[in-house]
Amino acid sequence: MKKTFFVIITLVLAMVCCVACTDQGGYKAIEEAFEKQYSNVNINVTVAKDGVTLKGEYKLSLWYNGNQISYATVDYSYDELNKLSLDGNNGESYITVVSGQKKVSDGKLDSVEINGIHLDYGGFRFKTDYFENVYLSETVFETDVVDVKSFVGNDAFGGTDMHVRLTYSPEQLETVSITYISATGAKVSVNYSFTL
Amino acid sequence: MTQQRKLKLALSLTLIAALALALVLPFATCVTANAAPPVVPDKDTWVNTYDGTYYDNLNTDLTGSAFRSELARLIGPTSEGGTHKTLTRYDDLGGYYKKTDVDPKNSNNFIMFYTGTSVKWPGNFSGVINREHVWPKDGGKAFPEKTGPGGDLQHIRPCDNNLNSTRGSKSYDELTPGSSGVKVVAENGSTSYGKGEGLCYTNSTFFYPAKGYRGATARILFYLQTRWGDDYNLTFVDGSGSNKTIGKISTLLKWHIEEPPTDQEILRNNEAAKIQGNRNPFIDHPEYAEMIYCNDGKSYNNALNNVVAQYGSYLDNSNPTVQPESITLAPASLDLVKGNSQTVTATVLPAGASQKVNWKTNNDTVATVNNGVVYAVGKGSTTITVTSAVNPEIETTLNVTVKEPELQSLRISPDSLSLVEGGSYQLTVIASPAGASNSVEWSSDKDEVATVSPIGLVTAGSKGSATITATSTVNNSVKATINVTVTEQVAPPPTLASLTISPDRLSLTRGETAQLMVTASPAGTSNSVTWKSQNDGVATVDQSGLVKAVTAGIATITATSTVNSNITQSITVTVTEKVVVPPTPELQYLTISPSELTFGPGDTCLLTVTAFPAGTSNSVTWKSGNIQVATVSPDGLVKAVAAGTATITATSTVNGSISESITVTVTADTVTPDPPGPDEPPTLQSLTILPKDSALTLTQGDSFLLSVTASPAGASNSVTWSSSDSQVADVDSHGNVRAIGAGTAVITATSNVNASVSAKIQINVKSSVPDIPDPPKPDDPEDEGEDFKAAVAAIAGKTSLSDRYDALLKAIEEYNKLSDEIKQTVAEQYSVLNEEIERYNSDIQLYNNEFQVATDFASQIAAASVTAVLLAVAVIVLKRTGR
Repeated sequence: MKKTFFVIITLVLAMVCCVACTDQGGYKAIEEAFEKQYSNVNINVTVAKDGVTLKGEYKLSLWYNGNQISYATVDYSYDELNKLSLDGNNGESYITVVSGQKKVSDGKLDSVEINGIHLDYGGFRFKTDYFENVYLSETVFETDVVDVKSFVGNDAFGGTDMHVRLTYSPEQLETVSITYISATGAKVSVNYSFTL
Repeated sequence: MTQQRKLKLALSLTLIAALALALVLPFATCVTANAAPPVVPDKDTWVNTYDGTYYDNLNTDLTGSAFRSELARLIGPTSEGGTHKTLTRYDDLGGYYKKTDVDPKNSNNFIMFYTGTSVKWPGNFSGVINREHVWPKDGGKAFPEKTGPGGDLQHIRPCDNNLNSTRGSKSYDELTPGSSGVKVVAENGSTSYGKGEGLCYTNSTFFYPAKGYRGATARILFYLQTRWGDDYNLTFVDGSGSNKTIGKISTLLKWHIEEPPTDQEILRNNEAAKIQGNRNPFIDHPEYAEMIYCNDGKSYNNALNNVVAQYGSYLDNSNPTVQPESITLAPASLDLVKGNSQTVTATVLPAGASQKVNWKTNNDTVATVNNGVVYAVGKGSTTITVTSAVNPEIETTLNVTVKEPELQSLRISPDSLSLVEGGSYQLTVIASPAGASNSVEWSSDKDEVATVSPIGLVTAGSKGSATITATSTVNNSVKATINVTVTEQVAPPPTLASLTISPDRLSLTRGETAQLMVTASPAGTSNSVTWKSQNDGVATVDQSGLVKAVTAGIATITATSTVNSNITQSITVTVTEKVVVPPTPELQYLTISPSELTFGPGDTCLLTVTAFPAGTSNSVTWKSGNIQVATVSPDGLVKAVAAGTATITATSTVNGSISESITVTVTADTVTPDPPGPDEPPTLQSLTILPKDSALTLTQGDSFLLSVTASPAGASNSVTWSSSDSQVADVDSHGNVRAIGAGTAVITATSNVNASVSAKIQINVKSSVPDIPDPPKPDDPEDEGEDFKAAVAAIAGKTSLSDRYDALLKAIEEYNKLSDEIKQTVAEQYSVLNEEIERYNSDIQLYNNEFQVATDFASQIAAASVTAVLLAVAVIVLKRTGR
């Protein structure tokens, strides 16, 4: 009887605290922070599976005219596993780093039009229902994502065990770190850093 | 009930109480919320929304005391024809405040006057809430404390007890926070109810309400003076009041203008009017304050008119039906001293007409005007026209006379001047007092040193000093002088134009150093530079210009001026690998073949000379000791001339101290040598290259001198040198071998006498840096197929991607070594290899795809974000270009 009462009291207090700490207003500010005009965005992607680790780094430099990007560069560098061919010309190692730069000017990425690009996902959505073990402070938001499909806005997304950590200031996002296990069991880590 | 059950019940009740407290506590903290002063409307856009009939019977043509009396009657007691039907009592105000001062967000709270703080109403005034006499009762000296003005709901306001006490009976005025004696007023012991303008301040004389309550304070006081002033002799003063006077009225009128009635005031006026019948007319018609107090014949009228002129008039939007008829000016004319200014007040009549006027000067060289402030510009007279802003036909003029003050002194700026020859400078002259004429005539006492134009422009002549004088044209006894010093024109220091590096190019071998020198042009300019090598891997340079060759290649060395970084000079440094010449063995002795010779006159014999040790030069000069007996050609061909003996000597051209001689005997008769004869050198049997090693290993860049000996002795060792691969090693006509590139070459010496006779030596050249591995040994053709088979078999044991890749790569390389014939014999293993390659390529595609999916995900940071779109595009492009 006594234990049951303690459990009930604890649950009620936890619910009160949860409601107080995870207001939608805070999430709205985070979602809005994603849409600010950052001058630099660095993205690091790491995929590890069966002892093989592939890494990619994308450095975006952005210039704006009003709400539109007027000019941008993407410096990319990513790992790629080499195919083998009997006619020779094979790399010395099984892994190669591919790097280069792409530029966006006047709505074109080199020769590729931006128009018509289709995004599979709807972007991140911050709702209390999607999260568990939330930590929210003035500078950090950290949570386990229990409804990954809703959070990433794509029912076809197969990732699980997702964990998200954001750091931010009143003015901007600082970093976003996301880890998850892919549908095929690869451990994926995605890290963003933002500069206004 | 058992003791245990009692304990459980007590514990349960305690926990329930704790839970209830946790849930209620947040609301309990709202008993006193942060202050929320009313929003002050913008005075320039505020519009009076009062549209009632309460004031319909007022004679608004009146102003000053007459109009005040009209208004006092309206808001006065019903017994005198007024509307003040209920005289509320001080003790009953708590109940009325529930209607007039309740917090609209919390009906349990009252809003505190002066601060806007919401405080829970405890039901009586024994706690933090008190009743503030905005016009201080002054202990009952001003009026009854609890009745009449002391109980008037339009006057008495709920207020924090602590703040009420601090305010006391002080008058109102603006105070500067931080100034001496000025303190923040605490509310309930705290100053956290606001910040900056949201705080109340006080000193020993005045009280300064928080922003949002200043205009309201003024309107309450205007109400009280109008409603009760005649009864209790209450009047305003333009300073600190006491007892029955209060001030400072000019500040109160300013607040009244700056803070138009707030919504909170208007609502409260309506609620109070419901209770006691009369209204605060200064909330409904703010212009009434100006109409009364700017014109009631009191000493503060001018000050109040200046306030209206400076901060605006409510009359401008008071009654558009009152048309302006005339404008009066105060003062009606102006006599000003140049440089001074004075404010002129315009009053548009009749009362109620718009007070907006336009000011225009008719001669801005005499006087300018800005919103009634006239500024005396220059001597003379002019008129200023004042026109009604709503009816330009209504105008009046102001006569303005500007006089110059009597000139006292002149001062020239600057007070001294230094110029170089040919330079110039504009002087200015300042008259004192301000406004006095600064019209002057300029003169110089030495025109050859400096001249001065009629407007004060000084032009330097030749070196020297001169005095420039400004003499007033108004009073020639008033003068000012300055001294002008003229110095010679000094040629500017030369400017660096270019740099030259010496030497202008460098060729160094690895490890060598060289000192660079830099010269600046033109002469006299700085040659201070910073040195930089564009390729430190080839050659470095320190900041003294010392170049050090690091490895073979070309580097550009640049000197950049420390004075002007745009001026640079560069040279090219070519670094070659160091040529290692092995020490040439020193010549020890020579031998001549044949070692003796006997032949008859006319016979010839070719002598050959061999140098020892091997590798040393056999270059010699030949000499006959008796040319009457035998001569010898530069090639060593001896010819018998006449019977006798002669010594033939070969002397080294390398070392003249080393020589060898043979004795030649010429017989009287012809001697046929038993073979070979002197005319027929012995038949060449073979050649030997010295050194006799079968192979010689050199380092890339090395040189080595080969020599050749012929057998048998006396046979010609004249040979032609050749290399099987001049990319590896070449050889010149003297047998000097140069190691060019890593690899193996064969050097051949072919007899010039018999091309079928030759000698060979293998030259192995190793790379200088780094050492090249030993050349691969050619596979045994019989093992070729076996190596490939073994490589294919090794694939099966590999599991990791990297190991599989290496094993497959090895097998592919082995297969590509095989001849077509052998390939036919390993078809089975080739099939296995093909399958393994396909399986590997399929497997790695899974990993590459996995990475692609993760990168796609990374691009989805926000669909609405242009950043995300950009990254998505980047990923797609990467797919198209790379994957």
